[in-house]
Amino acid sequence: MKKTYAKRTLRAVAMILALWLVTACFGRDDRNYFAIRGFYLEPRDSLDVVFLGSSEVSADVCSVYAYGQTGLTGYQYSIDSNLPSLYLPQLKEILSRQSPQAVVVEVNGFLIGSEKDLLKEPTLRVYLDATRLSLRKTETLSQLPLEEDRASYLFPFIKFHTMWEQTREWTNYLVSWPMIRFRGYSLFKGYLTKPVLLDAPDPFPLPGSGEKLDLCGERVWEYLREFADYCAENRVPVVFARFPHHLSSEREVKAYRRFLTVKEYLTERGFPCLDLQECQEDLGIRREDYYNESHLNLAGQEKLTSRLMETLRSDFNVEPGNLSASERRHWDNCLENYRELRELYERSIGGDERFIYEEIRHFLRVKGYI
Amino acid sequence: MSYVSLTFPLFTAASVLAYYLFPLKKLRWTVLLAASYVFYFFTGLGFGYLMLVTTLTTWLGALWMDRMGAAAEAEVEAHKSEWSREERKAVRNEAKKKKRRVLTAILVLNFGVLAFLKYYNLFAEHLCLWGFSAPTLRLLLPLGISFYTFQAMGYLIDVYRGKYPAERNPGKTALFVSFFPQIVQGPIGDYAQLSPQLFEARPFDYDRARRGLQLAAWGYFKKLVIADRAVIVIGAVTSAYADYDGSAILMAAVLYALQIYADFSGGIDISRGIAQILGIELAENFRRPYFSRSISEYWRRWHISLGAWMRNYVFYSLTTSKAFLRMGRSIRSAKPEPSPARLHTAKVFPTALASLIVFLLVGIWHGANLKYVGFGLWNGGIIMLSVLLAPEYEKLRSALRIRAESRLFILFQMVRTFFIVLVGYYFDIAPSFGGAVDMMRRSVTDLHFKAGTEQILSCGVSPKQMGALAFGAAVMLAVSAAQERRPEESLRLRLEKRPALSWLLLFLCIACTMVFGVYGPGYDSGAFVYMQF
Repeated sequence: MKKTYAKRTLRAVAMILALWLVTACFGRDDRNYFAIRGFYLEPRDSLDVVFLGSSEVSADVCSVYAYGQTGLTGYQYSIDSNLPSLYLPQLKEILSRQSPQAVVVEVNGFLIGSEKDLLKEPTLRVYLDATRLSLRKTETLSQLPLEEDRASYLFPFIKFHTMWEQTREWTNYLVSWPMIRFRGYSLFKGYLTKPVLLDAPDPFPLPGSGEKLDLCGERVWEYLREFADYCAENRVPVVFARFPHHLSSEREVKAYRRFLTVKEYLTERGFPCLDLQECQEDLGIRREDYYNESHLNLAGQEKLTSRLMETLRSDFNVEPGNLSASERRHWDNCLENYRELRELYERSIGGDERFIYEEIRHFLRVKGYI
Repeated sequence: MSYVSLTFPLFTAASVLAYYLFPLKKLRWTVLLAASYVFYFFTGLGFGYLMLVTTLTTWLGALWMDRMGAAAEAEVEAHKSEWSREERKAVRNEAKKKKRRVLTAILVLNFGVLAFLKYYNLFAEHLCLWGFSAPTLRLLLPLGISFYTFQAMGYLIDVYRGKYPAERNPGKTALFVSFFPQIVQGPIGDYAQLSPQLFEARPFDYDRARRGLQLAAWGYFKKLVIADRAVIVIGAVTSAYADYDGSAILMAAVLYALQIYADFSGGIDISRGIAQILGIELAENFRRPYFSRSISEYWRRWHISLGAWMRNYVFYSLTTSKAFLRMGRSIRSAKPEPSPARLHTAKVFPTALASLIVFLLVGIWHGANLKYVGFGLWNGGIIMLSVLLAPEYEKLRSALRIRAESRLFILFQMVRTFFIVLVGYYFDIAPSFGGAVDMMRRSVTDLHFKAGTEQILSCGVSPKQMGALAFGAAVMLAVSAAQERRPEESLRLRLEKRPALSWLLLFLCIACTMVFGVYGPGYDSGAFVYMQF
């Protein structure tokens, strides 16, 4: 009798596991998706610094390079065009797995130019598809006005089960994600760059503190206040920052003027807020250190990373934590791969503007998979 | 809470757990009642009160008729020795008359509500056309109203006919009317078959539950992989059929045959599967209808429970009525020495006419539109002709020396039946009666298969999706053919002997539905075709 029950239970469990495996074969073929999912692979409480923000966080700093320079371990937890509404859920998600000595928050996401950008569903999707199912996720979902079926956010398979129709994307996903998953860690920790030198007019003069511009609507203020309140209440070791941009367009200048407002608010509340735009010259960042107006290329990113790490160590007492032997091997392997990427980058500088160097493409190309 | 929403499987799992874990076995049926009402009030567009009215009138009416019958019998019994046979008959007839009045009132009330909700606006529109004024109302049809009304009224008529005593417990009547797996689109249950299962507590049976799970998974496969994909093409073609080549219209009609079967039988399989997990066997509603050799056989295999309802409560009532009996006699006695053809006509014409009326009613039940009258007349008319001309067909077959059981002839009959059914479907998919006729005309006069195929492939379904649709249809055809060749029970027994294979098939079915099913953001796969009836 017991044997019969055991057999039946075993069969049911085997079927459920097989079905779970089927769902694991479908996901988003997108670097943002891999960056967020890769975060969950980092050993718990193993990171010294986490960078939070928009695409600037992916492009302007490099955690692996920082590790090579200082021994500090970090992760670039970001998605392109990050939204004010997502900063707090993202911070909570970070703190649920890691206890970093510093969380560097790049505030560009709060500087949006239009209120209609406040709840862009595609951006919400990119982030929420990648986050794990948890009570925090359901809480985040309940606070967002979503048009698409909420169940598909909780179980992204509902959306991605049709991926077999896009053979190329599906193949990319089926090759890429298992590589990261079975390796056990992300190689570049959410990093990307482009082998491009910016070709843009000279920048406008840097606006002074008297040229502040208000944030775009009360909702953005609410999100910023909530974020700051949470950090203050929970004593999160947060360091706000604005990474440098090439201010050659009105849009960029306006964003910087909004940053001045944010900076004033955060400073008044006692939070550290680094204006890295202001000390751009000091950092030695020039036009050719950008790949576009908003993002630094590899040369610029190395300069910024060195300075930022130096500041974190000197002003915020961030020191490398103790890594186990296997963690050290993992980080050394990341560094080795970063060097390969760097070589590839230097060989192809000025090449195809569309080509993004990040974990998946780099890995597949350098290792000869594509 | 649609069948294809994520909440439905969760709700069902919770209901099954609550049902089997309920400590008071005698009252286990109350769990089903509670689950059914929760389901209906979450899904039924706030029309639960209409179902309550049907339940209450049915319960009270049945009880009342039962008591009237019992009182008359008691009276007859008390005066058995004093009263003559005629006197006893008179008392019984009086009671029957009263019972008939009660029955009529309840039938009129319930079918009146159904008819009002379904047809009032059409009636009002026509009144306006004729120069009268009647306001159109924002009427929504409550979920499954036809199915629960038919089921409840069937029970009431059976009580009137004395087939079984009335149910005394209002809760049990309510469960019979509202049982959640079947309320959406049937099958229409028979009280004698369903009630013992609903009210008896049955222990959990692993094999039955697994079979139920398989059946439900198979239903989801048919609905999500085949029906909901085919409907995209059908919708695109039929909404602007004038822009499409005749061959594209023909292909859309064939796809519709596939879609409606997969949708409806899929929904029924889900219902039957869930009921099976709960230990309840619902009546079979489809028996591979596209393998039928005649249109009469097709209708015995398609929506079996509606056919049975119509046969029991409309067809038999008509054929045994005085008018129909008189009609047969008058055809026969019109000439002193009737020919064999006249004798055949006298024998079958009343039943053929009853069939035509039944199909006309079925057509009107489908919707308040002339095209559905066309649908009913087409099917009823073909059945009528085939019954009346049966001897001529036999003569022709004999003259051509065709063996009735030859495979080729059987195949010919199946294809012929399918095309007759297909013509009927044109009335379903067309926007109007005239549109249906126009679509049929174009399907035979405007045939350019290459252009038609290209048009079909540009209807919003990619070639890969078409591949998935073809795969689903091929699997469904293969399963149906296997079931047709061997009795279903033997297939089931074979699978039960190999539980590992059984689980593997279940896994494949669920996995294929998950991957190839049409659902998720961007798709609206919520409604089953027959939910709207």
